[in-house]
Parts: sequence; C-alpha cells; structure tokens
Amino acid sequence: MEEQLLEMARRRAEAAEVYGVDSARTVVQFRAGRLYSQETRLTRGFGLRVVSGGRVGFSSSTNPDAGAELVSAALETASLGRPARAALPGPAPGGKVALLDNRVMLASSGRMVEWGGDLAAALKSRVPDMKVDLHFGRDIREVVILNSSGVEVRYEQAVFELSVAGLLVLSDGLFWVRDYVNLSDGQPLRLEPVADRLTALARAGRRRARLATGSYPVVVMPTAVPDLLLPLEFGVNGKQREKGTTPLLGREGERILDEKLTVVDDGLRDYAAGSAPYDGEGVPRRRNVVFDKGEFCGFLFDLATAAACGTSTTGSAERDYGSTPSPGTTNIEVRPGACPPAGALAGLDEGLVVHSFIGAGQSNLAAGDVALNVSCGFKVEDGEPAGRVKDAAIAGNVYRLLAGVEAVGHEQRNLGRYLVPFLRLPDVRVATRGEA
Amino acid sequence: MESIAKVAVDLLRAEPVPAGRYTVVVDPLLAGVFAHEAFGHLSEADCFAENDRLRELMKPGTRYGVDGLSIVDDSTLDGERGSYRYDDEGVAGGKTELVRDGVIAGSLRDRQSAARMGRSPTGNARAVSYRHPPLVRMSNTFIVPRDADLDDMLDIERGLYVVGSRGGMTELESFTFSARYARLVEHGRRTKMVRGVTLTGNVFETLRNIDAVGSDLVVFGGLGGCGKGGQNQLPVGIGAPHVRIRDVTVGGS
Repeated sequence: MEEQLLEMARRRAEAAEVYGVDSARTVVQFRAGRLYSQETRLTRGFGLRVVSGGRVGFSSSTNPDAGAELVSAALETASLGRPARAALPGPAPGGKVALLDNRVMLASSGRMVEWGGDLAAALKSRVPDMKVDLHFGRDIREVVILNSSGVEVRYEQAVFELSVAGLLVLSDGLFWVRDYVNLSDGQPLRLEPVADRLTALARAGRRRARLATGSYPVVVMPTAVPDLLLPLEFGVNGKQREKGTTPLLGREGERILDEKLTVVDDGLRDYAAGSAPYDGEGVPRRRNVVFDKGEFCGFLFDLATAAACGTSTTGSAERDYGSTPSPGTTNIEVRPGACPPAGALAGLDEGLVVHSFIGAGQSNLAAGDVALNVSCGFKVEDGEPAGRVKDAAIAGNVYRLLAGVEAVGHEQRNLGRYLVPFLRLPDVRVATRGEA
Repeated sequence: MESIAKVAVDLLRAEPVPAGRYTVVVDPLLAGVFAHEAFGHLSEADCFAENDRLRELMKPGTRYGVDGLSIVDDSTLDGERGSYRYDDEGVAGGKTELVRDGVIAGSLRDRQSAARMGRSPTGNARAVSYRHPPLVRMSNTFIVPRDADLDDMLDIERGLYVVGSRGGMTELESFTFSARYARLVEHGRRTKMVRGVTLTGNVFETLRNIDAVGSDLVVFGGLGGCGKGGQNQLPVGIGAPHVRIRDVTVGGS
C-alpha cells in the first residue's frame, strides 16, 4: 500500500513521503483488585506529505483503498500550505537500538490477567485496605517511511508497560501510591519489587506530619522527576527556538543548570518507548546531549525547524500517521550522580521528599515555571521520613531550581521514556495548609 | 483582542504571586473548571463504584458545602459544547444534580457503574471516538447561580481576584488548577496583577469554604476538552458565576 501511494503521489508532486503505521494495542485493566476490562485496538493508517508548487500539503487516512483521494487531498492542501523549507532526506543507515523482544509479542492478555491477579493478591495480603488499580498496556507497531528521495525505512517495535495505583481511604482523606514497570525488554514481571515499593509507601503514609508553608530542601524521587523536566523539554524544542519563545534562546554553550546535571535526549535507548532507528521523517535517530554538566548544548530540530533556524536536523521529528512531523523529545535521561540511595535524605533536619506530583504542564512552560501539587510526599525530620504531608504544593522556576542541585542519585529508575535518578534541591518554596 | 494583548503585556511585568493561603474570588471560567475538575470527576461513578469506602464518601445526603452551593451536569442545554441527545451507549442524556444546597445529590453513571450500584444510568457514557470504549464522563457541568454581588464578594481585606484557566487536574479529592493571572485584592479593591497562580487543595474542604455564589452564570465551551483514561479532548461545557472561596492554598513563588 505505502509503495503504491508513494508512486501515485510522486507522479503528481515535486516530492512525496508516506508514513504508515500498523499497530495493535492491548490493554488489561484491574480496578479495586479485580479484572475490569480487556481490549485490543488494531490500527492501520497512512500519512502522505507532498511538496507541490513549493508548498507542503498533507493528508491521512485509515482506509487502505483511499490512495487516489489521499493524493488529491494532499495536493489540494499544498495550495494553501506553508512553503517547503527543507528537502526530504535521502537514505542513511539507521541508529542501532533494540526495539522488540519476542517474549513481549508472545505475552497474551491472559498472561497479563494472571500477572495482574497475582500482584493484586500480593498487595491485598500486605495492605488489606488498599484498593489496587492496574493497567497493562502493550503496543506492537510496524512503521514504514518511504519518500521520493529514496528513503525506505521499516521497523517493528513493542512497548509493554505496567502502571499500578493503590488507593487508601484514611480517616483524614484519600492517599494514592503509584508505581510503574517497563516490561518492554521481555523480562517477566517481578512482583516482589513492585509490591515492596507500594507497601513501603502505603505504610509510611498512615502517619501524618505537618509542614508549615516555607522554603525547604526537597528531595524529588525518580518517579516525580519527569514532571519537573517538562519545562526543560519544552525549552529545548526547536519549534520554540524558531518562534523565539524559549528562555534558552541564544544561550548555547552557557551554563544553565547545575554542573551535576547532564541531560540526554536518547532516541536509541534499548526497549524505551521513544526509541527508533529513524525519526518520523526518516532521519537516523541519535543521542542528543541537551545539557552537558549543566551547559546547554543545543535545541532539538526536525528538518523544517532546522532549516528555519539555519542549522541541521537532530533526528528529532515526532509524529503519528495522522500528523505532520514536529520536533520533540524521545527518551530523556538524567545521567546518574554520586549520591547513593541512603544519602537522599541524609543530613536533612527538615524537608520534604516527593514521590509523585499532580498538575504538571499547567504552568507557564515557556517561562520554565512549575506549580505542582504533592500527591505522595513525606516530611523529612533528622534525615528520616516523618509522615505524609497532605495538601501541599511546590512552586518555582525550573531553570532556577535546577541551577543549584544539592545531590543527584547514582541509581536511575527506568520509567519508560525517562531514565532518571533522584534530585535533591536545596531551597524550594512549599505551600501547605500549615501556618507559615 | 485588545484585552488579550494588554493582559499578555501586563503579565510580562507581573510578579509571581507569593505562595500562601488566600481568600479568592474566582471568575466564572475558573470556577467552572473547579466544578468540573474538582467535583465533577469525583461524581463519575466509575471512580467509586468498585470501592465501598469511596462510595461511602460520595453517598447522597452527605454534606460537603454551604446551603448556597448547587452543582449540576446537564447534557440537554441548547447549543452548549457538551450537549447531546443520547450518550454513546444509546441512553438518553439528561440533567443530574450532583450537589443540591451543599449536600451530595447524585452521581454520573454509565450502564456498568449503574448496574454495579443498583441504580439507573444517567446517560453519561461517552467515548472520544469509535476507537475507544465509553467511560463515565461529564457533559455541561456548572455551579448553579445565586444572588451574591461581585462587589460584595470583593469586599475583603486581602485576597486574590483570579481570572481564567490554564487547565486543571484532579486526583479524586486533591485538585490543582492554574489561572491565567490574578489581581491582588486589598481593602475591597482589585490592585496589581500577579502571575503563576495555581490553586490547589482538597475538594471537600474547598467546597465547605465557598461562602458566596454570584448570579452571573457563564457556560464555556471553547477549544480543547476533557481528558480521562487516555481519551482526551472530549467536548464538554463548564460554567459558573463568580464564586468566593475562603482559605485556598495558592502555590506561587
């Protein structure tokens, strides 16, 4: 289908590109410890991008028999499209990355039901009053990218993830604990570590502590770090560079973050959700260091934004079949630091340790602002968790918060698109129900 | 357009709001977001139908707010963005009172949660497209107008007049939502603009702290929509009149 579509389009356009996806998504959900639903969603779709009269047109469909209509629609939109700023890429060797383990392909929904039941039972025996929701999601997809410059890319990918949420209804309200496991590498689910982590949080949360509004050292555990990184992901995006709406404009080579922080956009991490040998327009994926020991290294570009900014693509085009490419992050890694797990809270007379936030993305990302409600967090006293903090929020500017990081953990958590350690921030404004 | 441009320019000079607890007067858009995010999602029965202890929390007759507070979900409003005749299970849409005079009055149900609870569906099963199963979702959710006057609501020594919405999120009883901007209220007068205003807290406490509900109801549609369970951009209507809430935690600078 993709070949025929490209052939039809190239006869009528100056340049053409077909992006095809054939995917199967299987979801198994448990609610309150019981199997709630199973579903499988099959999708096959095609996106056609053309250059006609020097302008870009695009159309997409899930109908494999709609080739002629797709070509006509793409050409029609080109008449009103934006000028083509960059030529389509030619063939090049793809990045080396492991994307598919056969054991993931073979994991049936029956197996997910079995694992879910075992995990729910294990948690029920440890924390009887905790209601457990589980979500297994497995995506198997085949991607095809063809263009009139000779690109012919085909790859298969399988992403398999488990999210767990435990809810405790306590005398003073509700308390959520959460965990995540990336199963994409084909290893069987190890129940014990998940159950251990959730049980520890649930037990610690039964004790309540009060924290007055003020500024404190805050330890952001790996599970909460991605919410803190969101403004950085926005700021390094080549689209914002093109529009001039990023505080990083013109600051390549400048130290922006603490020198303990090296942040990499790694499109070639084995079995990570954002990995692929090529980006969304057939350019080889690569590892892009965006902050090296705190120094800003550069923006992430697709072909069009790179051309607009007078530079080269970084292989960062993201898309699905129904959308045109746009630059984006793939998998974000914060490189490990020197602090062992036992050092996370060590020496803190008073502070806060956060395992999860809610509210990411609502603040002014362009400015780097964050305002996050602490969903699962504990007061720290004399280097130990002293009880759950309820109804607290942290606020500040990520560029300032991460300019002075006290410690970076040397163990990373694999959170799918993120591979991150804990971060200890020395001075964060915390608003709570307690008096200042 | 001029107003949007002026706000954007003024925001460049605005200082971040100091974090703390404030009495806030919330404009109809943000109050509507509160009704939707903070209480509406909690009223969706699939979140508590499987959990006896949560069902107890949301039991009809339980008081969580003042007498003047009523919240309604209504898919039959003419021309609103969340309106429909039938939900995506073919059940007729309708009007459901969620809170009546401060007391829990009802919940939103699809056929599955209704069966689980031994109740009737309310016509609130909705899917964003044929590719997704219907979930319990809101339609047009709004705070019912009363008679408080905005100038009277602003008659406070110190607080915030909070305007517009940059989105919101909820985790059952916990909520957070961000305003476009706010103005300090000092001795009954709106004064300087502040930015970075995020209201956060506990739904039940916040409902109890609503002490004035205005008469100027506005129901908003607009672009975007509601997200839940991986189904985003569901068209909904949200609305409220001006509302005053005591003792709200504001996460600012």
